[in-house]
Parts: sequence; C-alpha cells; structure tokens
Amino acid sequence: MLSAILITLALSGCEPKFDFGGIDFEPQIIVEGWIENDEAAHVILTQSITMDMDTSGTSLADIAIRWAKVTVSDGETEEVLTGRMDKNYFPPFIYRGSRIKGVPGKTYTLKVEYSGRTLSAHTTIPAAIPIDKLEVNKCEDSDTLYQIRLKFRDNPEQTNYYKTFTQIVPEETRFYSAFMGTVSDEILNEGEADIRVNRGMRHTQLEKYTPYFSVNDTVNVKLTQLPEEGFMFWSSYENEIINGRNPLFPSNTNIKSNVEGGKGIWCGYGKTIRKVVIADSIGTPR
Amino acid sequence: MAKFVFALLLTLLPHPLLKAQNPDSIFLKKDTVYQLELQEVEVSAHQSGQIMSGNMSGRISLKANQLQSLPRFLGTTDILKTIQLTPGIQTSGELNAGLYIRGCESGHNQIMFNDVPIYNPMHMLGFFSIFNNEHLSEGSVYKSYISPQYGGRLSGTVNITSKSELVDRTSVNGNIGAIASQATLQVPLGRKSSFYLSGRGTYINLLLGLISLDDDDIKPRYGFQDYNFTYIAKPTGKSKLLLNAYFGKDDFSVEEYYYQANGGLSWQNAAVSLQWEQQTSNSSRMKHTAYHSYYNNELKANLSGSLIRFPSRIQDFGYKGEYRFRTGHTYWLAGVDYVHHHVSPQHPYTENLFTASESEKPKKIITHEYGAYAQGAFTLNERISAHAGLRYSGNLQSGSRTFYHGIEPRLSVEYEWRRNRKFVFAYTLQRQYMNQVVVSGIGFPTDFWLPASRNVPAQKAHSLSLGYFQSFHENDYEFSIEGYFKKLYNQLEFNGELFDMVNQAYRIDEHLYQGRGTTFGIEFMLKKNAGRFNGWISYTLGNSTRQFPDIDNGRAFAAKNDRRHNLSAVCNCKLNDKWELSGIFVYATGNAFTMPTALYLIGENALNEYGPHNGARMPAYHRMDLSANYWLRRDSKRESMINFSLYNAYGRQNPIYLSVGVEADKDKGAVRISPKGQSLYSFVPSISYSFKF
Repeated sequence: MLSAILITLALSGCEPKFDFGGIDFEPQIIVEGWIENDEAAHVILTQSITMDMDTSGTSLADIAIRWAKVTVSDGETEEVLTGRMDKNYFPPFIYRGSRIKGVPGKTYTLKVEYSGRTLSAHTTIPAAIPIDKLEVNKCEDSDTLYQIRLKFRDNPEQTNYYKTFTQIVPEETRFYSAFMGTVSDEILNEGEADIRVNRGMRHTQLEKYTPYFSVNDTVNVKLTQLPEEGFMFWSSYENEIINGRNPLFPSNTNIKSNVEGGKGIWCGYGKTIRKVVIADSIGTPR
Repeated sequence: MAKFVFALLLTLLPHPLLKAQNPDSIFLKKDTVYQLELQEVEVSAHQSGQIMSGNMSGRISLKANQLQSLPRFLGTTDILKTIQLTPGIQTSGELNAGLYIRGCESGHNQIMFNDVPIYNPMHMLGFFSIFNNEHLSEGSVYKSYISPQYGGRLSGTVNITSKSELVDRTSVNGNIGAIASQATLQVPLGRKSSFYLSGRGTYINLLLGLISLDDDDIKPRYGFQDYNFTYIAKPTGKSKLLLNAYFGKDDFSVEEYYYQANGGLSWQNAAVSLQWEQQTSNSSRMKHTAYHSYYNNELKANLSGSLIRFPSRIQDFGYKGEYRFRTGHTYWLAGVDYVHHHVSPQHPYTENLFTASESEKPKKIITHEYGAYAQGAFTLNERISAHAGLRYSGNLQSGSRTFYHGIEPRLSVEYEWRRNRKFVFAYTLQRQYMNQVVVSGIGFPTDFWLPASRNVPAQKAHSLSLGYFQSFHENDYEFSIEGYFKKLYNQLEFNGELFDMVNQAYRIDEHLYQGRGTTFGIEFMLKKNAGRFNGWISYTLGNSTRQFPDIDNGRAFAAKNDRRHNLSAVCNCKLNDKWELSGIFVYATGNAFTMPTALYLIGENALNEYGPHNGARMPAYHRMDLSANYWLRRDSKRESMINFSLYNAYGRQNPIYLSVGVEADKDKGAVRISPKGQSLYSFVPSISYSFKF
C-alpha cells in the first residue's frame, strides 16, 4: 500500500491549461544600462516576450534590439553610443560609449529612440566606497564551499545604498548581480559595515546555482554605491528572482523601473573592484 | 532560495472531508436561544444520523461521529474540510489552509475550539485541520445572522466543541491511517466526572525518507502532533464544569546542499479553557468561560551561518460571561467578553547577513478588546418571529491613545409563509479589531495577525441576507435558496516582499494598503435526510471584489478567493450492516491571481512582467472522492472498521500554482519559456483501520 501511495504522490505537471490569451501583449523595450566612475556608458536593449508564446523557443535575435539610437548626456556633452556584437553579454549585443566617462556626483541622462518610441532615464553616480577587507571562510558544514565577507566604511551621516556584483574569471565574462547583494545602510552596523557576498546568480547558468565559491575560484568582487532608484530596482529584482515562484512569500509586483517609456534600469554606480582567489586553506585576499 | 523554501511544499500532502447535524431542524428555533436547561444527550456510537443538518435554522451543525462515512484523505476524517462542502463555504483545494465564507478572507472568520479563538487551525499547510475528530462532539457554523455573543470578525463563526458527556466505563478508540494515527481514551472518575485524552501524530517522515524527490540535494522532514484533554464534572444536575486543553505543533524542516541551507517553517497552537455552566432557575442559566489561546509561527533559514527568521506570535487571555433567561415568550441572552491580546507581528531578524549581530526586536503590541451584548428572541405572531441583538465592542491599544469602538446591531426576521416553508431576512454589522495580514494569499502559516492601531484601522462589514427554506416529505428533503450581500470596509492588502524585509529597515505599516470590498451571491441547497441513500448538493454563485486606491489606480479587482461557481455534492449509501459507500464531488472556479504576462531578461535573469492585480484565473478545481467502510464489528461496546478511500478518483491534476520554466541557451542563442500549472499528485488511495473497545 505504501508503495502505491508513494507512486501516486509523485509530483507531476498538470494537464489543465492556463489562458494567456485574454491580455493584449505589446512588447516593451527593456533597458539594462549603467555608467560607472571612470568608465563609459553601457546599454543592453532587449524586448519583452509574451508568456503565451510557442514553447519551441524564441531566438535571441528577436529579443535583442540592434537598431536603436542610444544617447547619453552628462549635461554638457552628448554622446551617441555604438552598438556592436559582444559575446561577453547575453544576448550578445551591447551599446557602448567612449567619450563620456563616469564622474561621481554627476547626473547622466539616457535617451533611447527605436521604432518610433522614445525612452528616457536619469541617474547620478555616487561616490565609490573603498573595500577595507575581503574575508574568505569555509562554509560551516562543507569542506569544498567557501563564502566571502566584505568590510567597508559606511558614512552614518548619509543615506547610502549598496549593491554587490561578482565575476568568476575566466569563466564569466561579465559581472553578475550577487545573490542577496542589495542593501540599505539603514540596517548596517554603524561605522564598519560587514556584509556577505554571494556568488552572482543568473538563469543562463546551466549548473546548479550555489551562493558559495569553490577552491581555486578567482573572484572579482565589485562593491558599488548606487542612487535610490537603483536600489529600488535591484531590491525588486532580487525579490522577483528569489520569490517569483514561491507561494510562501509570493512575488507578484512588477520590478521598479526608472525608465520612462519602457522597463529596466539606467543606473550610475560608484564602484570598487577587488580580486580574491579562493585558496585551499582559509583564503588570503589579494 | 526559492527552491529551498518551496521544497517545504512539494513534499507535503493533501486532504478533505466533513459531516453534519441533527435533522428536524428546519423550524427549530435557534438552539443558542432556546436551550435553557442542561440536559444530558446520549449519543450512541452508530446512530443513523445525517451527515449535515440544521442549515435551515441558520446554524449548520456537523456531528463528529457521523463523519466516518465520508471519504478520507490518507485515512483521516476532518470536520473543517467537511464544512467546506456546505453552501456559501468554498472548497479550498490543496495547499490552502484558509476557510472562505461568502467571499470574505480567511481571517474574517472566527474559528473557535470550545469557545477559544484559534488563529491557525491547520496542520500540514492545510491538508489537515488541527481538530482530531475522535475527540470532538460537533462543529457549528453561523454565516447569516450572527448572534451578538460572537464578535471580532467580519464573516462567519465556526465553533468546534469537544465531547462533553460523562462516560460510565473506560474505553479506547482510535484510528490507524496511512500517514497519521490517533487514539482517544475515555475514563469515568466516579459518577459525576470523566475525562477524555487524545493524541495524534504523523509518521510521514518515514514516507519522506522513501520518496525520491527530483532533487536529491533536498532533504525535507515534517511532523505534526496534537493533544486534547477534556475534563467534565457535573457536581449537581444543574451545574457543569468543563476543562479543555489543546496543544498542537507542526515542524517542517529542509536541508539543501547547494545553498548549504537548513531551515523550515514551524507553528504551534495552544488553547485552554475553563467553563462553568449553571442553571440558575427553570428559566435561566449562565455560563462563564476563562481561556488562554496561543499561536506562533516562524519561517527561518540558515545559510551557512547567516540566519534569517520571520517569527510572529499572538497570545490571548480572555473571559466570556453569558446569561440566558426567559420572560413570557421572549428569550433573552446577555453577556460580556474581554480579551487581552499580546501580539508580536511578523518581523524579520537577520544575523551575519548584512549585520554582524542580530537585528533589533520590535516591541510587543498589547491591546484590550471587549464587548457587551444583549439579544431578544421574540415571537410576534404565529407566522413572524425575530431575533434582535445589539453588541457594543471596542479595542484599546496599551501605551497609545488608539481606541476604536462602536455598536453592532444584529437582526433576523423569520416569516413562516406556510407550514415548513419560511423566509428569513438577516442584517448584521460586524467589527474586527484583530486583522490577519495575508502574505501567502493561501492561508499558509506565513500569514500573521496584526491588531488595529493608529495606522491600521478597525475593519467593519455590513451584511444582508434573504433566504427561502422549505422541507417536504416529513423533513426527508430540504431545499433552500439564500442570497447575501456584504460591504467590507478598511480591508488590508500586504505588498511587502521577502527581500525588502531583510535588506532595509522594515516598517510593516508602510507595506499595507487599505481599501474596500463587496461580496454578493446566491446559495442553493437540496438535501435528502433519510433513507439508505442520502446526501446533498450545494451550489453557490458568488462574486467578491476589492477596491484599493493604491492598487491598479483604484480599479476594482477580483478578490483572490472570488469564486463564480462552487458546487459540492455528497452522497452516502448504506448497503447493509457491513458496507457503507460514499462519494464527494466538488467543482470550483479557479482562484484569481496576478499572472505574469510577459518575461524579459536583465543581467541574464528572466523576470516576470505581471498583468492586472488578480486579473487572471487558475483553471477550475474539481475532484471526486470515493469511500467504502467495512464494519468488522459494531455493537454498543466494541467497534472495528476498515475504510478504503480513493481521493481524487479520476486523477484530475489540479494546479496549485503557475510555474514558469525558462531555459536560455547561450550557444544556440535561444530562450525557451514553458509556463505550466503544477499539481501535487493525481489520485491518492488509502486504507485505515478504526477501532473502539
């Protein structure tokens, strides 16, 4: 009898169909744009895909927007970004600037013109925050997994927001949003902040995701200070990734965007990057 | 993380069922008013009663000992699940612990165990209720005219009572089921007192150890147990003392390798009451109840030294006093009640995540909730009778000047058109000072309670109902049709997100929207009371909407539990002295939910774009359960019976949530989206053995 019960309890996808057809779908232009201190602007443009699609798959050629006019202005200078193929990103097409480099304290305006639509967004680059220390510790119950803690000085006189990214080189060709890596200084210890840095998370990763690092991983840790609109975006972004499919704490609110006329984020970051190699014994940050 | 928390659910199992009350009901006056004398009611173990009775009198009653004949889920009979088969009360389906009456939220109902409020009456994320059927006497449901003795909630009242009869010999009964078993001991202590002791536990961990999950890296464990104790003393023929105690706990835990995570969800309920009933004269009696109720829950996760916890707790100390008396042909009821609430609303704590030490704890909220009421039952003439009641209630928060209060008039008028045919009109105004904040949307123990405070106003509802009730063929058949309309004020919607709670300062008031609600509908019921073949069909056509200025620009939207159609059919057939067969069929419009309509990529993660709030529907829920009882022995002292049940007999895979699978293939430059509903199981057979000696 037990075996009969066990067999029938096996999880299964169900037959009843959901009706996705009742809502008119118009693809939205999605902006993933950033400008960091001392760096040129980067913008990836894509369009949203209807949920009611053929499950045979959509080509990335249909998602990436390649023929947009993307303009960045710092209030004094204006620059049209150049779009090009770049396999370091997914989808592999990105618009880059060259003349305008990010300066902390300055405000940058993004304008995207495509197919008769115009999108715009503004952002400011906050000051970069030095990383005081990176600490590597072995996980409590594992001999092969390691975690990183990051220490930096938070100015208790100001309201500050932070976001961390990681990149494992050479496997990863760009920085990814660190899992649970968005924080307001409201909850940080006064003075020296001590936060955990988890491995960047992405759905395009084929292996099972773990927030930890392995021996011999070379990890670039990026600590950024970002403006409030960036914090709001990344908080809702992480909520969606963590809880989009979790009935205990379901997420069903749209990600907060600062892009008028579209979705996504145009954000200025004050960044600091440090590299750490996970050694066999307790790691020594380099 | 989502997978880790969600693993909680994927390993748990479901269950249904219920029963009912005494017949002749239809034109009995409300027994809450007319039972003035303390009487012993001997309930024989196998009396041939109906599964449900009393709906015609406005009080649906389910006798616990009649529930045995209905289909069981994994061998367990459940009174609260059976209540869901009655008109106006929704079939919640799997993974939903809520009780939804007439389009209201689960937290709008007062669920009581021996007059003590229970704040989360479910085990196993809703598959079982906390009520151990073998320890119970009956369950009563009020949803139209709510007597003013019941306050503090906007919708229905459910009161489950333990057995309270003296016994003359020691006996044991029990049930051995597929994943849980229970036993009840009944012991006389002289001629004037007795006690009952029940215990119930699950051994589902044995099964979980055998089940091979898709993901070998997840190790779930789950357990629940509950205990009931009842002491009855009748020192004189006119007085009765009852001591009832309940304690139950659920623990779910998961270990996951890749996240190096362990954690889980746990919750406990406790309820203790001391009741004294005294007949003070031939036409009056009084009842005093002192009680304590406790509920807490906690969701926690430990990610290799980084701890995240979400605890919440509510603790009540209360008193209820009531006095019933008669003057001429008028029956009176008057009383007072008071509850001292200690509430710790859900609040996040983190350790070693963003801070080195554990975050600061918020203060406990203490409130005083009270009520005073009176009701008269009048007979105006041969055809017209009425109940008129008035309740005054209030809520004061300690340490602040926040004070809510108001009157709650209640009225019911019955017009007996012809013999065994009547119309009943009812109006009630109800106020609610303890609000449930719905986090999960489906009654999971992550939902928590929050008292009315400066930024969270008291809730209020106006309710109207009009019904026609008829019995025929010597009460062998009953038919009813009843329409209802409710207007709800100061409703709450929670918009907090899990990550927002831990990565910034969390102030719950900032995550609550306030708005209004409207529900209306019509209920039908056709019931066959007598004969070897009996049962009922109940159908509700309903509509429930909410309107919040901060949601969808103030556009009215469907309540999550808005159900256009809700059908339940129950039949029971006694073939002979050995065999009983029964079946249940339920059909319900799918719940409203906020559906992702599009998807986009940022940072190589797929993100949902959601459509209008509650703008989509889950597929319809339907299910048939079948059951057969085979009596091995059945006499006044000994019983043994085997139950064979087939839950979800035709294997309908009712989805419990929408899952959106995303596969992005960098090499092929393609992304594949596969949204599909996920169900827990197809059909579930079970066998259980019940005994009494």
